[in-house]
Order: sequence, then C-alpha cells, then structure tokens
Amino acid sequence: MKFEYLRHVELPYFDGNNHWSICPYTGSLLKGNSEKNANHIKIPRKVSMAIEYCNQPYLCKVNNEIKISQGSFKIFAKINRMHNRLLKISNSRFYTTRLYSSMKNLLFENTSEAIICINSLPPQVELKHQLCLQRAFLAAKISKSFTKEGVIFIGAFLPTGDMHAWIIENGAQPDFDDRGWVNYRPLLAFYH
Amino acid sequence: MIISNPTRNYLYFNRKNNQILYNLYDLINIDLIRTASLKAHEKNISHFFSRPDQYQEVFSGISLIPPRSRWNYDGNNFRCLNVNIVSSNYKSQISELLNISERLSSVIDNKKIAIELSGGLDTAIVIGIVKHLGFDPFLVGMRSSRYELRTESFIQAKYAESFKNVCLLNADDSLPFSNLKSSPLHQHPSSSSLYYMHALRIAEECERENVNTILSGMGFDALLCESVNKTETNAMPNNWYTWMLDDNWFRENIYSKYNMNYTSGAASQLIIKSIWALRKTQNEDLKKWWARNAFKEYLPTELVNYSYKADNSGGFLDGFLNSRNEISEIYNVAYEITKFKEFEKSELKALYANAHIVDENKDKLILSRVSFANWIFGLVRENIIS
Repeated sequence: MKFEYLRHVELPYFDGNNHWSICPYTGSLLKGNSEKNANHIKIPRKVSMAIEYCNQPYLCKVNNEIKISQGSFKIFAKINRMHNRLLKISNSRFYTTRLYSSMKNLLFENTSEAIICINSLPPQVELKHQLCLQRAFLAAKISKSFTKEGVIFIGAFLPTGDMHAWIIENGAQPDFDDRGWVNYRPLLAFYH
Repeated sequence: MIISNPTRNYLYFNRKNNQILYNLYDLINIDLIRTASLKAHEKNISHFFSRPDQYQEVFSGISLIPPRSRWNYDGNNFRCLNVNIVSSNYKSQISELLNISERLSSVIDNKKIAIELSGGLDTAIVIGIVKHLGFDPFLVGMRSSRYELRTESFIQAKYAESFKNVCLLNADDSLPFSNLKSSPLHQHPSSSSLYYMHALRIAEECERENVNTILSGMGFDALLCESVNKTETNAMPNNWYTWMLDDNWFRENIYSKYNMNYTSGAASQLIIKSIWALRKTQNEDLKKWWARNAFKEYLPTELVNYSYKADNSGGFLDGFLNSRNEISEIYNVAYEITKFKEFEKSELKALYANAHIVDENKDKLILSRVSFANWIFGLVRENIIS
C-alpha cells in the first residue's frame, strides 16, 4: 500500500450576493460575505482542464454504454470491505476520508472500471445518490489511472445546500450512471 | 348517471344535487372557502390527481371533471367511460409513427405552429418530427443563465443557429411565484397558477408571431420512461388519456385568452399507442436511451449521446425567495378570509426557514399552500368574495 496525499484546490464562487466555498478539511459548504480571493489560487493544469469539462459537459467523452462489473469475487469482497470502512468513517470525518483515499490500493486500471464495481456494491445500489462521497474517494483509492488523470470534484447545487462528489478523468465522467452531476457547481477539487 | 365534459375547460360536478356546474364562481362564498380542505389540495398536488375517481374533494361534494372526459357516477364512485377505439395492430416502426404524425398534422396545415424549446429531449423530439413533416415552427422558450441549466442552454443555442424563427426569453423574468398578485383569476386552486408568468410570456411572444397552436413535450416522460413490461402499465395506451396531461390550466387561463391552442405533442391516443408499440417489451428506461436512439435522425447529436438530467428546483427556490413580500401579502389575505392555521405568519416563516432544504415534500407543501392562498387572493381582488 502506497501513500499518495490527495492534494486540494479550492474553487470559491461569488454569486453576486454570497461567496460559496467548501472547506477542504471538514467538507462543509460555506456561505459568507467575506471574499476568498480566487485570483490568488493557482489551479493546476489537470484541474483546470477538468473544470472545463464540468463547465461544458457536452465536451466530455461519451460514456453511455451499460457496463457490467467484471471484478472477481475476491476483489469485490475486498472493495466491499474498503467501502464499509468509508461508511464507518462517514461524511462527518471528511479529512479521514481524504487520508484513507490517499492510501492507495490499486486494483483497477482505470476509474471507469472501478466505479462500475463500486456501483454494484449493495449499499451503493440501495443508496446510490447519498453515497457519492464514498464512491468518488474509493474510486480514487483503487484506480491506477486516477493518480495520473483524475480529479475529484465536490460541488454544490446553489442556492440549495445540496452537495455532490464526482470524478472527471481524462475528459470523461467515468460514472456512466451519474446523470445529475451537471447540476453541481465545482467548489473543491482533489487530485494527485 | 353519465357525466360528460365536451368542453376544453374543467367542469364541476356537485354530488349533493347531481348538478354540473360550468362556473364555480356562482358557488364560491366565504363559507365554502372556510370549509375547504387544504389537506385535500395538498394530497392532490402530491399525487397529481385531477381525475374524479382519485381526486380528493377540496370543496365538500364538488368534483372536477377534466376537459373532454366522460364518467359514470353511481352515487359513490366515478368510473371513466372514455374508450379508445384505436386498433392495436401497430407496426413497431418509426415510419408508422411518422405516418400517424403526418395524418394528425393535417389539422394544423394552415396554422402557424410554435413549439416550446426547453433544450431537453422531449421537446426536441416534437421539434424533430414537426420539422420532418415540412413545417417551419416558431421555437419559443426561456433561456436561463443558471449553471445547472447550461446543457439546456447549449441545445437552445444550437437550435437558434439552425432554425429561422427562434425566440429565447429571459427565464429570470418569469420565475415560479413571480408577479403572483396579478395572476389570472381561476376557479379552483391549482399549483399551475404559480407558474403562470412563464406561459404568459410565451403567449405574448406567440401572439406577435400570429401563432395558433403551441406544442409542448408534456407527457413524454411517462411515454418514454415507464416500463412496458409491467402488467399494470401494459395497458397504458388504453388507460392513458390525453386529458390527463397537465396543460389544462394554462390553456384555460392563459392561452385561450390569446385564442391559442396549447397542447402536448403526445396529446393523441394514436401517438401514444404508436410509441408504446415501438417500445414493445422494454423495461423502465429512465435515461430514455431507446428514444435517443430511435429518434436520432431528428435530434441534435448531444441529446443522442448524453443523458444529463438538469434540475429545475434552483429556479423554483429563487422564485420563492424573491417573491417573499408578495407571498406574505397573499398569505395575510388568505388568513383574514379563512383563519386557517396554515396561513399564519409563523407557518410562512417556517416554510422560508426550510426553503433551502432539498426535499420534495417541502416543495409540495409550498406549492399547495401558496397556490391555495393565491386562489383566494384572486377571488378577493376580483370582488368574488370580500
């Protein structure tokens, strides 16, 4: 197991009245009057390219084929254990989730394959829309290609406080089953 | 007894004296309003029921009879008498659907047609088929700068480049709940009244273009998504009537005043049956992949290849927040008339306190209460009650 710290970059947004951001340590959505100077934030090229795909979803590579998980039972059980661990950590211990995801356990060549397997886990089947954080951070943990090409975004559907986590990797949204990610404005990105 | 509504508007049936009322205003008075059931109105909104066999009576003994529907009333229950006499021997080919569409389009041959341009799949299918039939429709819609609606805006812009006559109005000017104090007087409470500005703006634009008929994409969600395999929905073409489409309020209270017909592109049993035959034994298809593929020749490539689902609740929330003063005034009037606890200031405050929470039930509560208060406000404004 290799430790590769998931770095972050904040993407604060001003909607004309309020400044919105997400705390990279607690994962909380912050709304305030004080401005975070977005001009001073250096956004790595990989992240800025991924933001472009978020802003223009029709630029993303087409990923609409229904795919069935090809993982063996052994791998499936292992991923299920890791997923359960993330569920125990829970959303409230956001930084621990981030650290756990940084402890790499590379089982899949790319994130799309990893997500197909994660999506077939019972809790994800049952509560797919509520478990986006666990899905994204687990995919980052077990996918080889994520390290090179992937970016996790956490965004908010403004002005509601609804939040979502998703990945953009190599110009595609690897979760073919996630149609709602386009509703969320990216406010925080994680990458290697 | 048989109750028939041959008109294009809702009629009302009074169970107490078995009378059909063309005009509910004659019956409306303070006592009727004070004994009305806001809970029943909430339930009707939650379940989208306007058909009398499932409708919860808001006014004791009064049922709504949808336009162009027939019912048998046995003293207790309603039973739908509309019969579909369409042959079920449909070929499962797109060409069959196009032939049907062509035959149906003969009634609008000499009329100017507009189609709502939402930027989504359903209206795009209507646009694609109408264009294929040789019409040059006026495309009219609301353009939003909202982040979550950027995929819709992209498709709208694409149509604006390829069609001659396209009008995209600013969505911020007609958010839900806007300008409520001027909403048209209407006979029974309806959540559609909260969205009237959208329809009004479209009607105004269509009037400038001398449009006679406006087509929408209403009803396509059920047609293109629902499972054909399920036993209970298998009979959909036989049990699904065009009057179930929720376009009646807009037609009755907005478009008819401009002498326009407003209807869904799916408002024909022939089309419903044809699409159902095409989908044959399919399971639920929430992403509408079948439709994206089947109609690909008539759609922008983006709608064929991607199934993004934009959420409109941001506009709903902004509209609700922006209209707080007006809604407060409307609530005050409703409280003065009814003394209903639900219209107390503290109740409205609680609705606003939780407005940001993403919760379908909360949205339905807002829809039902504000629309009920808005209905009362209109009656007071027009001196129907005082």
